Amino acid sequence: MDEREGSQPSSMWADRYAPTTIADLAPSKTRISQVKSWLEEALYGRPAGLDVGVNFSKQAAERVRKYRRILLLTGPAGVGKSTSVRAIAGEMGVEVIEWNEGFEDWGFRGDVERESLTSKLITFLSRNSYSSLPIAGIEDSRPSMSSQTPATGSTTYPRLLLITSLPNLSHYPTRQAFHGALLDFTRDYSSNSSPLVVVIPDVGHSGAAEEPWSARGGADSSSDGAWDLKSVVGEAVLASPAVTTIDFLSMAPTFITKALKRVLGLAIPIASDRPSNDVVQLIAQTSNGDLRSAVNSLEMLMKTSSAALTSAVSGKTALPKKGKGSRGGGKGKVSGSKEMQILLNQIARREQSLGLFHALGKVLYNKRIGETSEDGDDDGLARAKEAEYLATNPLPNHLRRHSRPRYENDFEELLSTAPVDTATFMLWIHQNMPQFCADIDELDECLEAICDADRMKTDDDLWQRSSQAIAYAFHVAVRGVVAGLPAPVPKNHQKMFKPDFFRWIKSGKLNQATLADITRWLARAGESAQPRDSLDGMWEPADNQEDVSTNTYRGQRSNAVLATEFLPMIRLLKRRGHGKSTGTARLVAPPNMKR
Amino acid sequence: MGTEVAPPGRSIEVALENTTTSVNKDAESYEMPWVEKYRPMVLDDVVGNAETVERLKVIAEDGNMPHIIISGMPGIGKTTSIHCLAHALLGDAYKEGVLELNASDERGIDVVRNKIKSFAQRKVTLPAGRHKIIILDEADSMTTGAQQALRRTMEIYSNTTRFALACNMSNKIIEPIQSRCALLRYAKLRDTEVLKRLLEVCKAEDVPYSDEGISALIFTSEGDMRQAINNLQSTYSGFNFISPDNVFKVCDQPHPVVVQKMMKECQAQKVDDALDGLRDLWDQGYSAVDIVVTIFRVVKTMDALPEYLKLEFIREIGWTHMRILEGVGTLVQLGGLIARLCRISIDPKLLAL
Repeated sequence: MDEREGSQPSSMWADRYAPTTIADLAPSKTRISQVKSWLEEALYGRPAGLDVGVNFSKQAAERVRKYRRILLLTGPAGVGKSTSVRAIAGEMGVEVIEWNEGFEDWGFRGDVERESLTSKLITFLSRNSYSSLPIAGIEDSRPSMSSQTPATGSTTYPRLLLITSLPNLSHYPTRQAFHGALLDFTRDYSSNSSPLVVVIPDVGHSGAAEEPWSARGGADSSSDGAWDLKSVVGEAVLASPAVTTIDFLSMAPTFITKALKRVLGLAIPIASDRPSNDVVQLIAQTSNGDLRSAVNSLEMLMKTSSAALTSAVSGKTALPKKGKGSRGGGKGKVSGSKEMQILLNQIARREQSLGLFHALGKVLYNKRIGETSEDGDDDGLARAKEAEYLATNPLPNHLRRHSRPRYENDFEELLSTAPVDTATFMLWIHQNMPQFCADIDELDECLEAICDADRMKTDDDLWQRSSQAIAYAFHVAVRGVVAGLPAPVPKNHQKMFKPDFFRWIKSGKLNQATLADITRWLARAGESAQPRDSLDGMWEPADNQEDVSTNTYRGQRSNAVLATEFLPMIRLLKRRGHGKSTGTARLVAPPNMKR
Repeated sequence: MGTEVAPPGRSIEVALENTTTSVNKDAESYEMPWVEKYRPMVLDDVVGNAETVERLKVIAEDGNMPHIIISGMPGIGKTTSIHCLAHALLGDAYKEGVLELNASDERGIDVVRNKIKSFAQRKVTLPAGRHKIIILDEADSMTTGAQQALRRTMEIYSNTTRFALACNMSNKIIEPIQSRCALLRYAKLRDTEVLKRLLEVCKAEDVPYSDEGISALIFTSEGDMRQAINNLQSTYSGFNFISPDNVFKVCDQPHPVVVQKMMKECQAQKVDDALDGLRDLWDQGYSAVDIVVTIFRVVKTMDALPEYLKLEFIREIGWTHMRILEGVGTLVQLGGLIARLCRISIDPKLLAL
């Protein structure tokens, strides 16, 4: 009952044209080859890079395979994690056995003795880890499609277990059971066992929501369902030598462009019906590194506007133009026709880079009524009218210096059409605003407004949730920045940047996790009498995981003390040559730390 | 487990006509909320967001609906559009082919696992090339766990079942789901769009109105069509005539004209006059929140207020609103607001000691 047949005309492009061969895969070649060589090692014990012909002993193979039990694939959504595994396994002629949240037995055996999903998963893992096959050798030539469906009759294919949907990890007992099952899996090894691949998508904070920033990047992220790797698979599993992690990165536009072109080639047989390169590149750039959504956008675009797109010049889109695009700030490098950009704006998802840059440009260039536009249109009439308005509605004398023509855009409309939520929009403004300021006073004024807006979005839930708070924050921030910036702004080829905030949140989280690791490490080290000797045994698979919270390192140390005083000190001592110099310094850090 | 294919040839237009007429007939029989009675049944009738709705129409014609997320403020037609789309796609098969769950239904992980899955597995006879549709209204209120459980379901059954999610904030939807969906963003309705619809309803229901009354409705609804129509109906059933005074009585909001006068006095530094106006409102029994909300709305749209003053006004109003929501909804706070608003226009030198 495989529903992923992929060839039905009614399926979505992202499924229908999913690559089935390694050559077609979109992620970077290094990642692909990492996965591939891991699979080879796990299935055949053949070290990467060894020629097929080279003979090597069975024992050696066993030794390799023993340490290739679980592969964790992590990365953002839609970068092709699962697809890569399936395609590679397919090409290697490996039978993929996929865990599907028990839906296959659904309603099968009636009602009485239904196992819990967790126990089903555990059974799945233990039952399937053994297969009766003798490893025959490498058969690269096997057609890739056949392995996707369970092989009928013969069981001579090597098998690979694949988990793409995780159990409900916010339920503590389930999580414990899952961790236990994985840990058992790493330990039980016989020459017949099959390896396991677990695909873990980043649930991710999409720069998230109208919620307090502190909670967004908060230390206690695990309570919120934003899982870090450790809470998904368990610390012990992560530390196990039999577990490998491969991290997929979000895709560069060039990769996406290439993949999109492949899909187009398959989906639209006639080359002249395909959209122009510009369109494809635009989609790639706006997709935010998410190939699946790029394909979705493409499908949507092709479906809804084939007439408008194929001839990029045609002006007969049925859609009314919107916003007229007053030379928005973020002119992309790709110049698509205006209709296309509008179309894209509506379908491209999430950050909607184009829409975002447009909105940013509207704020940061703060065009005034009657201002001479870039193209040299001098609207004298509007200017005269505006002067009249200013004369009839003057500012009080002491505020006269703030007097200037009114802002061209409607703030309310800006608020309702901003492509991202207010908090994120404020971040972007904050990041990009300084380069538009000409002097420090202007900067001061803008920052003042942003600070006020930030305070208006306090962490208090009652207030925070109300759309009024958002409206106030938006009005104060945007109006304040518009009032603070010089008009017209000096043109210095300003470029828009992504807020650093996201990067700091990420590294902050990483450091938090590391610190937690170290705390635990110290707790254990403090327990044994000779800390120095215990260092070496430290990173064996942590069978002896005690309840960490009860053990402290020679008295209580708060995380803050640890981070600001204790660790720098250790570091310093190590550097002074007190110990094995650099080698020991690294020991302080757990092995999974990415530094 | 493919969907059974119905004999081809039923065109969408036929299906559309059926649905519109039938529902409107129902509506005749008894008094129902106008929001329901005049809820658009076809995409053509959906007000506002023309480009996005255009997109949905093309999907309806094409028949192959991708997973979609529609996000936007309340009362701008998200759910309505999805219903229209589903009707257009499925026609008579709507009842069997659509599963709708909103925030009031239970939508924990169990529901996702069982109800949604069993619906996705069910065989339903649908027009050719159509899919079952699962509508998840207010999807942003689903827990992350439930959304996670949804992720795989969407993928496995995408051949037979498509998802349509409506939410207020798309970023409350986890990335993996966003990645699987086409995201459509609905903007707030423009005043003219609300106006058009209101006039249509007035005409259909034979409601007597004055132009000022209608604009009062638009002012109070702030781009929320549902609210606008509800207020229209309440005003009509209460007073039988749509005039500004009636509207503000029904909505129980301070009269914006009074508030605007107050703000003008603030701008002219007439503290005493403005405070008198405030006292009047207070004595009429309006709460501090009512008053401050109206002040904000009025200031936003007040044309005679220079831009810079507007910024400063909004800043002060924001602070006061915060304080009020934190629990000090007193006349003193509002009086303080008025005084501060007046001070903005006064030369600080005059206030120096």
